[in-house]
Amino acid sequence: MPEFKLADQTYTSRLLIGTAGYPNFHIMTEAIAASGAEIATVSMRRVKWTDNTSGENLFALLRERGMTILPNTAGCFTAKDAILTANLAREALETVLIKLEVIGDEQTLFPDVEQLLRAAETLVKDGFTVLPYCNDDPITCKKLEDIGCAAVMPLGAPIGSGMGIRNPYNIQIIRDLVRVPLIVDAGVGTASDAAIAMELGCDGVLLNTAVAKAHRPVLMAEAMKKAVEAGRAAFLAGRIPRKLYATASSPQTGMIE
Amino acid sequence: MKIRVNGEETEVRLNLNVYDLLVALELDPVRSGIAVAVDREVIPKTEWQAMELRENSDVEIIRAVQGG
Repeated sequence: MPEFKLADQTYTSRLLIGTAGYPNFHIMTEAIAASGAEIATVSMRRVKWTDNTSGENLFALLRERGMTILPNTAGCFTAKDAILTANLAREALETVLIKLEVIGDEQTLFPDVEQLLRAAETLVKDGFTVLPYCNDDPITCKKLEDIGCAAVMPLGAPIGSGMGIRNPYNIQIIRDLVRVPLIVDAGVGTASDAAIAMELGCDGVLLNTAVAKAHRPVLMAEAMKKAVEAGRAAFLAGRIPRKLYATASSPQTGMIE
Repeated sequence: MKIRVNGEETEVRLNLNVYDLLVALELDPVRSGIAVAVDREVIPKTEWQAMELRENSDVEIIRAVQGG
């Protein structure tokens, strides 16, 4: 199957995985391995004096495994904070990749589009490879592409909600409208949701909670891997048109009388 | 002099630089994976020794943690 190109890099896997919320570090590493993901997200937070080794361990572990580390700006509510966080991430992790999140509201965690566009513009100018978490709004996605973002990452549903792809029609329109990679980020609850995103023509799926909070995270990671692969294959193969009535698949002639 | 480190007021000696602050906080400055901002300006690793802190400097020291 054709490889996945993102920001001048080529990947085999189209699944991007988060590193938060697993029962423990060991299950996280097993789940990441089972998912086959080659890109993993991390957050940037203040060093705590009591526990200043876990961050280093995570960074070292992902690096050792040859994974692409994708820092996010989670928790930022303004363009200003997101820009500072991105700059800190670039310095700490030696990467220009940034998953840009500018949140507008704590309850929904929906993006603040105005602040997001502003931050994206500055970060692109400053040489970052910007992967913005955004609404499933075609116009916003188009604007982000025009600004120079390396991908657009509309939400399928609110972060951590597990509600799946709530507006598949918008995702389809976004697919038609943008040429940069389209990655559904947030909302995936189970394997079929990931498959649907891929069947709609997305280039990838970014998920975290669906695996981390599954009863068996490692098994769910494996399921997500298969779902993304199956969804992609189905998209490339081309689905048959939907029809209200039956069309027999067995021959209609030569039947016993 | 008084400075703020990750939001907490801290008493340090005069003209302390960023590098020595990290050492004083028992953070190995040679290790990768951390970044420092002073008064919301990122200070590159190469400037940690030259960057002296002042009274009321606001220092943020961050690292990667598990995230989605």
